[in-house]
Amino acid sequence: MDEPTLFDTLLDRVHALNDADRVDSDDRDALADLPWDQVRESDREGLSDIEARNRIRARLLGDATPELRVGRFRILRTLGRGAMGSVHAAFDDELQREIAIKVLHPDICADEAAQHRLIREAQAQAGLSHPHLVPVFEVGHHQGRIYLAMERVDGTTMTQWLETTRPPARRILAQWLDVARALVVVHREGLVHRDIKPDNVLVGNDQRVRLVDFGLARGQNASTDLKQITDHGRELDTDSGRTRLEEMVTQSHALVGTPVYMAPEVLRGEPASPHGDQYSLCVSIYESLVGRRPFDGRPRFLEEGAVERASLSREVYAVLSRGLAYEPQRRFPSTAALVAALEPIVQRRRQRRTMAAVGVIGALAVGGLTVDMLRAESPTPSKPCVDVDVSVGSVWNDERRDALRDAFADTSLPYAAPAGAWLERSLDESTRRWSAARLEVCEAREIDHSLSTEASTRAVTCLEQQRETLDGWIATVIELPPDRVADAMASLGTLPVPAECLRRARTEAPVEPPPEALRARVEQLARQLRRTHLQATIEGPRGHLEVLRQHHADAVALGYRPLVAEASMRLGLSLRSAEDPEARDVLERAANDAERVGDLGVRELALHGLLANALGTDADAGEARRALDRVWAVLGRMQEPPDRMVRALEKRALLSTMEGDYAGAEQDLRSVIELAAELGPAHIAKEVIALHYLGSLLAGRGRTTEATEAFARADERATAMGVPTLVTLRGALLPGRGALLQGLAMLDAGKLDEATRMLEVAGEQSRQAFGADSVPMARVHMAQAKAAMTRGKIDDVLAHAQAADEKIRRWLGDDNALRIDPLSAVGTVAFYQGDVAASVAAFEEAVRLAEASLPHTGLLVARHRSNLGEALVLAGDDSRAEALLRAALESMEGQLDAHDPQIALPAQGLAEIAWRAKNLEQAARYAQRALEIREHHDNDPPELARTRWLLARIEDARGNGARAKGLAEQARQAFESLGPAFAEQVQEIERHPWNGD
Amino acid sequence: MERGLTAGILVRVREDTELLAAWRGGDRAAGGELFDRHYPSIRRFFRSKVGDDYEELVQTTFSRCVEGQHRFRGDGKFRSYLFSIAANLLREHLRRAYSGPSFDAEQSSIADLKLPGPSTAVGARREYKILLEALRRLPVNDQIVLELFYWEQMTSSAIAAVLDVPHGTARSRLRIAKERLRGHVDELARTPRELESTVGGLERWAAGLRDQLQ
Repeated sequence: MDEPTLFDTLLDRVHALNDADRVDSDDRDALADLPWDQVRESDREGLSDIEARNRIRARLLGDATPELRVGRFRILRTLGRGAMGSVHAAFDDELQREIAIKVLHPDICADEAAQHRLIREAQAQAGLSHPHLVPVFEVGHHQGRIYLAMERVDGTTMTQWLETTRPPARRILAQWLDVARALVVVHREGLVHRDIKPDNVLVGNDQRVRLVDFGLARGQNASTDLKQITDHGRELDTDSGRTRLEEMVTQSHALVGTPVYMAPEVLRGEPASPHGDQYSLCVSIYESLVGRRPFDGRPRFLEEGAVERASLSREVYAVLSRGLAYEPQRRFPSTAALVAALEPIVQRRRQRRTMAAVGVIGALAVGGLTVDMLRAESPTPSKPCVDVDVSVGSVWNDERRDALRDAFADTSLPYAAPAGAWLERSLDESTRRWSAARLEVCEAREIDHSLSTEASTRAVTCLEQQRETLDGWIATVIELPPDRVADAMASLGTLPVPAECLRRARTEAPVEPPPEALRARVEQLARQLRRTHLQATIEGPRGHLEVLRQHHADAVALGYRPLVAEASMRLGLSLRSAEDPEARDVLERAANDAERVGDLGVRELALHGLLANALGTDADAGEARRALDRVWAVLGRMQEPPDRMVRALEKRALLSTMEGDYAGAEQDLRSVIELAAELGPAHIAKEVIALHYLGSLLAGRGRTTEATEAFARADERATAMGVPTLVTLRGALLPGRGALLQGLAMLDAGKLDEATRMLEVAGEQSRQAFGADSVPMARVHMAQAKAAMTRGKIDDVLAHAQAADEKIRRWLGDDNALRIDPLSAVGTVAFYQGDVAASVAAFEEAVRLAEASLPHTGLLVARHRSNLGEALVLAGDDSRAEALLRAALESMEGQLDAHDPQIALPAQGLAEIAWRAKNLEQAARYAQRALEIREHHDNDPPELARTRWLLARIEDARGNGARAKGLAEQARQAFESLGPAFAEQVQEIERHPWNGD
Repeated sequence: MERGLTAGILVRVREDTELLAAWRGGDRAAGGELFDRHYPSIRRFFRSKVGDDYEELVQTTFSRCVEGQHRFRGDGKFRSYLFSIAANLLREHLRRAYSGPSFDAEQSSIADLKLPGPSTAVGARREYKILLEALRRLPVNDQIVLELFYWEQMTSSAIAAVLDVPHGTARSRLRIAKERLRGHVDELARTPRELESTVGGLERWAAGLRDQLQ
């Protein structure tokens, strides 16, 4: 620094210390003259400090802590403290609601003019309304403190949200885009935020982001820059050094905001401006995406420097480095312009590529125009990519389209036509994307020069492979036997994602190519390997495993390690879908080999296979979590390709559900829904399935309205994609399926009438689409059986359950797991009707099927064992019953909430066994457990009555006559109202000889 | 000690020692008066070292004071007595919470312990940040000595009572602490980079604070 500055003055004083000391250390030296009470600003007390003081004082002196009030708001607790003030949870006595209140430090607005300005500004903020701004209800001042009463947002800060949910990059960017939109509104009103950073963005439990914490307190001299102060100081220098320092102190609060997020000009002390906010926003976005702040995390105070691209995509990097320009005028002219630049990246990026490609392949004049218009910003006079072969005609053409239509027409599927149409649409889109990607590779090489020759060659090779895969996919589907055509639909998600080739060429290191002598054989074997694996995927693995083993052996013999890794991976995945226990070792080997040769794509697929294995076959949450961590690490290295992310997030949602983390599962499902929508029609199944899954999850948590919304949106999305009649994909896309699930959710919520109506709709839709005699209709019958059960209409239950079982057996065979539910219902009805033999027979069959298809430690098996156990109790086979019931109860207690209704079943059965064994205490304990749960839910009248009657007899035997009679009377009334089917129970109660009588 | 006029009425202000005796005898009003009188200094003492985590430390200081765990002979200055409790408590706290038995108040500074810097730093002037940061970089005992001297306007003999050392020792301590302070201020003022990292450090503290609040 050339000129004398404040630093110098300070130094002078510090240097003077020594001289003073030589006299006497007690002398007030040069530093002692500093206005220390202003230097140590920590003396000021925020509201939270006053709270602390009151607490200490009360505890020391044994007084009650005085209630703190700000205006009509009663302070409940402190939520956070910052430089400007503190935020508290408060209760609004007038409107009887909890709010958040921000109280500014008293000395932030020392004089009245400043206070008025602050209030005016806060009021302006309160006038803003935007979904991504926290609503401010009221602004005021109270005992010299300004406060803002705001809506309380339940959620976390963006910082924590990023840490705990590790969302995909696209989702992060979408959230920041919403923040930017809010900021546009702020700036439009002439306001400046001044402190944009991830900690000042809240993510609500509804996932909506809200910008909070305006840097209101800019301080009276925020607009005075440091230089001005220095000049001012020099003028005063003529008086005395002391005056100069004191003068400086009065010009306090030069900086408002958080240095590492601040624009250089703001750090220098220039007035806050929308450009400064834009800079802070871009620092925040950069940090959220890259994991660290640009410029090494240092505030960019002194020098200019380029932003490192890190892992950012070209487009995102372009936007952020402009927003982070050192000179404000080189940034976007407005936040709206920044939003306009971000929006297409978040939303329309794919569409743009698609349009460009349509122009080229469509060979339409208009199409050509579109391309030129879109490419106008990068002038390409020579058009080097006009001649590149982007054609997919050899793979997808009219001839094949007809063949595919024929293949579908040959089937007897009632939904063949719409399924075929959807398949065509997906293939149209996939091939279109392929062309677009091929064009983009060329342009990246020839026009942008953003791709090296080597990377470009790799991208082209990758795309060629994908074209082969597409070719193989279509050929396989066309040749499928008529009854298997529907299987193709389930494999749609395996269609290649062309954009991946470009991304991998850009971001991943090349895998070492095979030696020249081996190349032809390696390529041939690779092709065979992929074709066989594709067939195994579409047709099911059984017939293809031996061939894959042979390919693997051939690859080992060739000795080219990348191919060995790939062969292991493909063999492992096929073994995995056959649920062969060998899958694990093979996949583990594939993952390790892939790591050694540096093929991230193969590694990710292998690890994903291990994850699926842990979740599906082993049903081992711990193992799944470990596998997931490994998948996640690779996905990070691959920069989160969306199709792979969708799969991983789907699995993570499943795992979270298994672990009981429903909030986590919900968040992941929402990410899946969002990402899958962007991936195009081939992936809509994932979106719709995730919506249905989300609906079921919410319904299970009692959030019926949201659940119904999710189901409805699933139907809507499916319809919007032009697939009015949807196709079987794990059953989720069947017509009527949305109505069915909504009906079930309503049933769970106890809305019987609405549920019944919804199930009628489901039945009508299913009947129209599939005919009365069909598997989907079986599902509707099952739901209706459940509804009838809730109403206590036993005959209806039996009729619906038998109809369902009949249809499943006819279409899917005696051993299909779908029979489990109707069998259970039949067993249950027989149970109530006292037909013990029929009940045991049905339940035994259900347990057999459940044990054949489900993990034995799981809840479902436990439930069916519990049913059989109960029937066996009735049959008098207590020893077999007890073993089954204990196993069931143990599984359930370990995995369910304490009040889960399922627990009541084995508890009641065990109560009966203990009752018969005259083990009264144990019987009372089990029965009481069952009763508490059933009374808690009160939605299963026959069972509740049975439990009451059992406990009545136990209590009678224990000498609690009064309680016993009360329970018995309740049970009697309930049985009576359930109709003649329960006449026997009514009589039994009426004839019971009471102990006391 | 007599203090000035309030609204024309001469108010006799009771001595600290008198209030303490009354408080120990169960007079809560006296306790309240004593507390109110010294609370700001004690809070300031802890807040400059442990940030917003001062509540328990301040309370313990006063409760030890009234319980008389540390003997107050009644002849020395009450303020020195109170600060000696606070200083002991601080050293215990730092040893327990941050670096185990190896903590040495003669060697380790608050900055070494990566403890939060002075609060509300964002609003503070850069020059004062340097000063506050320099204080944080002193060995804890030096920081205490200088803060008592500059902030609390204590004499070297009062400081000697706080530290429980002879007067001469306190005086040389003060001199050494000032020299060290000068060294740090020099260094901080010379290197703008250093200053920026200080600013960054403060920010880390702010972030850490927010984490605690959730």
